[in-house]
Amino acid sequence: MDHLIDAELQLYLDGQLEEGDKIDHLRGCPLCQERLDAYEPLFAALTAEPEWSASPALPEKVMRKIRRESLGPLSENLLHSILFIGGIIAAFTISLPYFRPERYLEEARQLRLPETSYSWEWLRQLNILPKVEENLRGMDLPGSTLMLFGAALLLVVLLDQLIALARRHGVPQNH
Amino acid sequence: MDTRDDKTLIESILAGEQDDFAVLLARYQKLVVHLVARMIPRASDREDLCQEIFLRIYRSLADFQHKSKLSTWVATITHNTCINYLQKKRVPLYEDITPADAQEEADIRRVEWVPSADASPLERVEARDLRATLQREMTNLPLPFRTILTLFHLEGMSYTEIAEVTALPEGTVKSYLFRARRLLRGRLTAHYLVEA
Repeated sequence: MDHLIDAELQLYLDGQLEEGDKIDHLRGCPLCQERLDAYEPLFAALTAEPEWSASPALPEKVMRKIRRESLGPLSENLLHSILFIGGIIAAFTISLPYFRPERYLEEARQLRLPETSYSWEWLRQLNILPKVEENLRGMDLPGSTLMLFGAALLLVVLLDQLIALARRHGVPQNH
Repeated sequence: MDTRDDKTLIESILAGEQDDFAVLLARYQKLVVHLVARMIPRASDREDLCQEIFLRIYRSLADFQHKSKLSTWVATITHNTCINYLQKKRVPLYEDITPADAQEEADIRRVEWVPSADASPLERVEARDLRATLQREMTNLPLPFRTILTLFHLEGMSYTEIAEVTALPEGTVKSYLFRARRLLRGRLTAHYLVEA
């Protein structure tokens, strides 16, 4: 029976060498035993901890950051959401006097599509702006403002989810 | 001491009990600190990096699917964060590992040893002295060697788990582990022979 090679000795010390002729040989061979013994001080030393250790304040520092930092999506991130939505409302308040929805509708009605050999009548019928105007006529806020506000809210939610996603970037999957 | 298992703790944290994360942190602090200490050369950056790693773990708890041990997942996040940091600092990651040349392969396969009446130099050295010299020699090893040695000997991970953490094939993990230990044994033996 041949002596064990270096990799087999290391496998044995790792507890990964399967029972069989190799291990039988090892038990009865002084040469292999001596080579094995020469690895043992190294294996013992390898279990020593690194010289550097973190400060005792590390757990408290992490917990403080966790408590302070906003970590979740919109519903868990109240301050962030209030500030963000507040900013958008402020932007609307400033820009609202400049909105001229009637003018936009008038321009849309006067829109002339290019003359072609095809009939564009079906497209004109799809123009829902006059219907929207008719339905919103009795309301206090212009329809376009409401729609824009809804779109802005949707944008806030999307941005918030993007931030949450970016924070998870680099996390291993399938664990 | 909190005896709840990892799964229960994670569920509790996700349900809003933020302070339970302190229990997980205490449980895995050594793992993170050991890896950071061995992977990051600049001691002044290590503490901040440890904080970043734990924050990342906290933010990602909802993504943990309990398919592997939590320790493997924590080690993977730690490893990836350290690699990202080193890439930003332009520290060579794998360039310093030369492929095992024919001579080294032959050495690994060789049954080298001359039986002698004397014990090997490493057996005669005081354990504390050997540990101190080992720490110094460890810093000169290529990064993957240091990482694998730490995960195997300090964290008790299997070859398979280390392969998962480092995203290396299991065969490569074994090969690096054997080469690293052989290299260390050679350097330490040379060190004490010169001293003698």
